[in-house]
Amino acid sequence: MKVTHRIKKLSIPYFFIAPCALLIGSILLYPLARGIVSSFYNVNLLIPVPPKFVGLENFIRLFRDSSFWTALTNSIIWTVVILIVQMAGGLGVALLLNQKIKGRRFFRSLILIPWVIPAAIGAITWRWIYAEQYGLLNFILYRLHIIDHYKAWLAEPSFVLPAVIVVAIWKGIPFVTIVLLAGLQSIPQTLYEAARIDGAGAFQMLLRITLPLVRNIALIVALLTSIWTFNHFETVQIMTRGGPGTATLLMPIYAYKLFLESFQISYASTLATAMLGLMMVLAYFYVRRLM
Amino acid sequence: MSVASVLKKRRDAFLKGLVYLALSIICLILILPFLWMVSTSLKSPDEIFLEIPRWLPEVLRVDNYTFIWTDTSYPKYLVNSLIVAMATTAIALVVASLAGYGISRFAFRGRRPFSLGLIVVQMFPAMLLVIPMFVIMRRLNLLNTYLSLIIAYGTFAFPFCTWMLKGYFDTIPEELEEAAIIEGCSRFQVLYKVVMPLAAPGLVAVALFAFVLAWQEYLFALTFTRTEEMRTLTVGIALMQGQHGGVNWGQVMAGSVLACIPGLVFFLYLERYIVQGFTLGAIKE
Amino acid sequence: MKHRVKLLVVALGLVVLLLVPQSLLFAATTLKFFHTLWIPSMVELMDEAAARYEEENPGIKIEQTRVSWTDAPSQLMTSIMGGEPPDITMAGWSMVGQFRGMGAFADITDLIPEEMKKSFLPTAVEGVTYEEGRFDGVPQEGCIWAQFYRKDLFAEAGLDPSGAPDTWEELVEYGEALTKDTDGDGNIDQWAFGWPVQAENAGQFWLTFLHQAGSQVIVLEDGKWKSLLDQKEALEGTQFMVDLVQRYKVSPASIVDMNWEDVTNGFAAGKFAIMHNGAWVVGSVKQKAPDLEGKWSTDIIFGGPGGRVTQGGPNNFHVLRASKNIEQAWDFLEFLYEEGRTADLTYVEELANLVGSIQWNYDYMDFVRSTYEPLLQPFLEHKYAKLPPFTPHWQTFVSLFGDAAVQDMIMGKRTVKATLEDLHAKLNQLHSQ
Repeated sequence: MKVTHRIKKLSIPYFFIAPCALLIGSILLYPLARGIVSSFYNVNLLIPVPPKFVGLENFIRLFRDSSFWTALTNSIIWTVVILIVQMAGGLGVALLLNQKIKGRRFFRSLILIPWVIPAAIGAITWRWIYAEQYGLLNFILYRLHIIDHYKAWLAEPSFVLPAVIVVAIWKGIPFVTIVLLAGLQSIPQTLYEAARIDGAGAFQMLLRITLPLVRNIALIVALLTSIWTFNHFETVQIMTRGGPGTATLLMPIYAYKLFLESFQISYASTLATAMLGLMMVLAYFYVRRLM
Repeated sequence: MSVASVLKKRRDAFLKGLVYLALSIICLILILPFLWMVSTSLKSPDEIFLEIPRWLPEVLRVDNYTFIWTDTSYPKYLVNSLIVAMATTAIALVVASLAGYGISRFAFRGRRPFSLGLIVVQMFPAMLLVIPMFVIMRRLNLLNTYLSLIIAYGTFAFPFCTWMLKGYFDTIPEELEEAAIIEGCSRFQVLYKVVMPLAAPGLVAVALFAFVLAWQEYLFALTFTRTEEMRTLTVGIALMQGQHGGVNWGQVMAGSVLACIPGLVFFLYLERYIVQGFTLGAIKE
Repeated sequence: MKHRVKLLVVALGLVVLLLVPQSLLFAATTLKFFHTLWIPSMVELMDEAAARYEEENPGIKIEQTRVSWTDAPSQLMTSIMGGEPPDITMAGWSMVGQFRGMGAFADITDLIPEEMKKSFLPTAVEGVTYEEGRFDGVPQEGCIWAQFYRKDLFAEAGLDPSGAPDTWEELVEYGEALTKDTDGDGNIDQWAFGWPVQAENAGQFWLTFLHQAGSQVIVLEDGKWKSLLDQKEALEGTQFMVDLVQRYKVSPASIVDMNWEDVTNGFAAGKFAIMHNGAWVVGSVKQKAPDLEGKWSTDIIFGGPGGRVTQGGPNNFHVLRASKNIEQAWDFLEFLYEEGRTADLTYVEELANLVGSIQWNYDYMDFVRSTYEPLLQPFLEHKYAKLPPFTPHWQTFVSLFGDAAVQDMIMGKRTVKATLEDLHAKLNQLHSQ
């Protein structure tokens, strides 16, 4: 009686996680495994021959591939810059939204708008905003005398990466803001009151109370947005397709070219596996700080 | 009234003003593209790409909206998207609640790996999964059905939703549940009757996340749906543009603006719960 | 109780029967048809044709899958690899090489009537035969590219507004007169010539320059593809293209981010006095700038040392080798090629007519020479149209290397000679696997 009761008790948690684990396991893990295995073969859908095991050949080829390094560099810049600006900006906006002002619910709703706009449509709209002749950006900047002639923002290698980064930040900042705002709101007001009584200034309160208490949630959201940002594909694909030249060639864009434009499935899987590996290394550092 | 308190009041008012100003500017920048979308949706082709951008068109083309509604399959796409998104949300709520509760309340063998696994799974590049998942759906005879998308989207949504709910459940004290267990409730009943009602904000956050994910997804919607009747909005809007032809951007933007509405409605209606739900367990940790 | 259960089962059975679509019950043959039609009038026409065919052939059902142009190759590949290939597919000329190379198309030489084969225009025949006389597809509509020019800006510059440049030399000559700073702020805002170079446009238009210089780009010799990018014609063509931006400065470097619509917007706004674009743009310019009526015109493309060459060719319909209904699929295609809404045009011809494009057969050419408006006439010169190379790796080449390289050269980031050497090596390497 006691044994069966104990078994039943021990197995309860597994029932709870079963649906989640089963679905993820069957739908995601199998394709992933197949994908990783494929990187050790030579499958190119355009050349219909029986697949041959080639060991680490694809990985060596990847290592020697200048496009890989270009994409990696661009992706790292992309992820790091977006992460920093989103976290800093998100925290700033969250702090503002945390103030007791009338109409903050209204602002909070407006902030979320970029999240609702489908990425593809947002990208098209931003492309128009950046357009040289008829774009809003040139029109406004010129009238404000910030630039002296219209620029083709997406055609110049030095401007194009920052330009698309801005769009990615625009799309991602609502999420970061909301999560950080939730974190801020969970800090008990009593702590601030006590600090005020002790004579602490606003900046000190920020440094000593706010930041340490949102640290955990900030790390979580930083990890998540890093992953999502690294994998983000649609914005750049629609705005520049990785160009001009290779100025905005990111890892997911290169993966798309390999998977769905040239159908070199195995080599593409190698790239995807490398991407996965990189993200896991990144995640390791985060998780270590979290636990 | 002392001088000090008058000055303080003035200073507070000034700071409040600054906050309003900052928020207004930030919000304006964030919604500017959306405003431009709306503006474009009311324009004829010859007013969209003007050298001097115009916010209000000379000729208001409300017929852009009526056209996509009556002359294209847009209503069908909308219904499909709604069904898929709502079903995904429902299944995500159920599965993520169960799993999130499990991780939150029980210390079991494999808890750590499972939690970490949820993070790792989110890293998979979608392109790696397209052909294999197509094969899976085909073998299950689910191609061109709602279920194929619901399953796929649910799977993409579970990791984050589970995490979110776990975090939220962590903030709910266990005493209430202990009381219910002593009275003889099973764990499921405890979850359903005691915990869930308290977890409303977390559930709203999960619902929102799952809904937005399902609503905006493109690649798998394109791959799993094969006929006009089953296409979703994102695919439908892409189909309104094409190679070798003049796209009517006014109509496309009209369709896009309409596509944003369910999400906006969601926010406004459940705004109260949204922020709270995203605590991710900040308090307890 | 048992009685009730029986009743329930019968009731459920009836419900299931009612819900099951009729066609399934009668074991209908479903023809899966993959295409990229998106313009409403064309979609409507195809729906009509399909419905009529189904009526005339009970037991056959046409299931249409519409995809956007950019997604067509990946979706077709996914379907084939996923074990759910369509029976009939539309294929743009950029896709044909890839899918033909992997053996996806069925040989329908014996199914096509001889008369029909003879009715196709030469460029079209090139596009649908994989070997002399062996057909694996039938040509469908596809347009040709030509020049658009602003008569008003020509007149302002003292140039004869009755035609656009005919040769490379003339282009440069006109270019110098047409490129200017119109508002005196020190920056050039009117450029002589514009063409799309963003994304896949880079490689596509580069081919035009290569062909105009007389280069054949890549040839099939003894069953092996050999790159000719190291020959002087390739160098000349590429150099001229880059010189337009870097040396003669008659085109801006910002074209690297322009697609056909950006160039069209530029043309409408007076930023480009001449543009190189496709036939559908005629309608687009009218839509975007109705007040420019009478101030612009079209002309055939200019020619280089190798002659007048432009982009152009048909998209095709193919029956897939993996189809289980090859003959039935061909029957539907034949229906589209022989029947029509009216007696004048077949369904495929009308598809072309609806958008001012060409259906690549002689009859249609006769029809349009008399019916198409003057602005569309230059887009009928099919003898100048050349298709891209049909090697299955051409798309891989431009997608991974070619497009970016062309953009880099035009921006002046890389020199033509060094880049061509690099591209030549990569093109050969892709074919040595």
